[in-house]
Amino acid sequence: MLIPEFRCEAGQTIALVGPSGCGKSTFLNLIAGIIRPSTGSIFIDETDVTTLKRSASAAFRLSRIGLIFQEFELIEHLSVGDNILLPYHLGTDTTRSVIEKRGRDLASHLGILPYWDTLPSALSHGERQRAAIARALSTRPRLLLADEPTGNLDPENKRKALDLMHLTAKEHDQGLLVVTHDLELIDSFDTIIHFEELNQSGKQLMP
Amino acid sequence: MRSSSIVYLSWKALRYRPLRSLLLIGTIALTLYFPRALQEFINRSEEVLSARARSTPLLIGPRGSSIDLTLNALYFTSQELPALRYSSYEALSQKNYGKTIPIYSRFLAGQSPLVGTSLAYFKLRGLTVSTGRTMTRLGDCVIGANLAQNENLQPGDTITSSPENIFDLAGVYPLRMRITGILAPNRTPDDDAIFVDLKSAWIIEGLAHGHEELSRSETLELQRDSKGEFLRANASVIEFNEVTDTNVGDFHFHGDRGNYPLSSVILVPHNQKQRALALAHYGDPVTAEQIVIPAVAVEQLAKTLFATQRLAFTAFTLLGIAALALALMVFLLSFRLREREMLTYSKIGATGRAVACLQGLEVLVIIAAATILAQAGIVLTRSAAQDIFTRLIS
Repeated sequence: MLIPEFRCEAGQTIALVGPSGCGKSTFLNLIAGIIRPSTGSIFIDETDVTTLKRSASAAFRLSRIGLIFQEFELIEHLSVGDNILLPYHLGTDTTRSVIEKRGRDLASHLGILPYWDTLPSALSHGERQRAAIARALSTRPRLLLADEPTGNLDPENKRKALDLMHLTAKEHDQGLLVVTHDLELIDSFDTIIHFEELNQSGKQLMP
Repeated sequence: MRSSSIVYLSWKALRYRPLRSLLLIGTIALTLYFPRALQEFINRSEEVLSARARSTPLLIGPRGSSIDLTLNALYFTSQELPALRYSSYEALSQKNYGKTIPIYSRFLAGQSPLVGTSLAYFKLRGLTVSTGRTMTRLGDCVIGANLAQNENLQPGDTITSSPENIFDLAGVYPLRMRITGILAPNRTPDDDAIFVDLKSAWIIEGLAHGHEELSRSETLELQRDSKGEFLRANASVIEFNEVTDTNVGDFHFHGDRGNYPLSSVILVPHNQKQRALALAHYGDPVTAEQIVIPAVAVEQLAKTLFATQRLAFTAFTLLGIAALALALMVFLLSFRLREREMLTYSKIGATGRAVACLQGLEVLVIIAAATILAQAGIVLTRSAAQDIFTRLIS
């Protein structure tokens, strides 16, 4: 993968589209500092996440980046509420009461508040996806990275979830970078990027 | 990551898989428990064996296995020992080496050993009657605290000796004995025993009996034999199977008392010199009796017994290591299955150390719970070891 330059401004919402297997999820993981690039820099605000040590990178991710995974990645032995509170448990600076209030508000907005004490295994795919969205938004991250966040949602909840992400991005000046295949919804994003155009590696190999 | 959060998340993970957690706790607890409990049991048994042996200075009995003789005298085990003649006891008493306490431990009443002895035995063992009084009359008995509690017996109740063979009509005499007292518990085989006077034991042996006085019985026919020398009662003479205040005078002994049987005699020498003399006298192979220092006999027994138990200890230890290895494998497999969960923690922002703490605490909680459980078992075993050992050996 070779990305010459990519920029996401505060409050900007970007939809990243492209065929399966082209490296969109890897790109998100690079930005989040989960994997490291072989060369180059990735700045979030003033911090180059590629220079951070593992523990510092984890702490940075916890406080600044919200992640929504394609496979939800909820912890099966924790209730929906505990999953939403997970960033607090993992050591984010925000107090429990603040995270819990935000989490409950988000859960209420996404229609999963009645399942606050329910284990994820008892929820539908869509409900799990919404719990994962609430978890990512509960810390009010500077940058929200979402990998197919609406893939398992019905049209109504899809719209609700995306509206919520857009709203929080605008209200709290967050960057929002969403990988999606859902072309019906990408109109609402400020910028739409075809990942194949962003990634120059294939082109360099071309004669 | 906050310590309280590590505890909370680990606890949630353990609770989510209760069966796995309980199985691991149980396996590790048993692994820790068995070798240590066996060690405790061995140590306690050694103490118990030695203590009772040490409080029995010397033992005189028929020649044969010194260990069988010691176990019979100390634990009332029912080994078939040759009998020691009462005349030997009298001879020993006349030599005045020390205090002599006869023991005749051959019979049972139910599962409880019946011990014919003298009151000096109670003094030797520090036994006191907690309820009732000691035996005063033929057919009286004093019973141990455990027996009284288990069978709900009280002074005034009766207990009947068991025949050795139900078809042996001429053999051991089922004697109904009157319980006059209950001994205070002393956590030794005495707690399960029935103590009677030697003469009562001989009634059970069939050496003495009581029956209706022939001259007074109107229902009996007295027959003169062909030579006209003997009186013979017919079969309807009623033989007493219980000694009462009214029939006690009708009990009488047959034969030469010098030939009456004993199991052994406990000798408490007056002093070191008398002890040496007794050892020298009975150490002579020409004497019909043997002298045993119970502490030495028990030491020999303990060596054999504990060598076997140490083998078991080694086996338990090896099994324990294997079980711990299995438990370790279960942990590793479990963590492997939960790799994705740990990866999620990392992706969200948990440091490697925090993830290690989460996993470590789960292991620690399981090991701690297993250790507490094993320790509780060991404490229980320690407190029960004496009783278990006493029951096992009796």
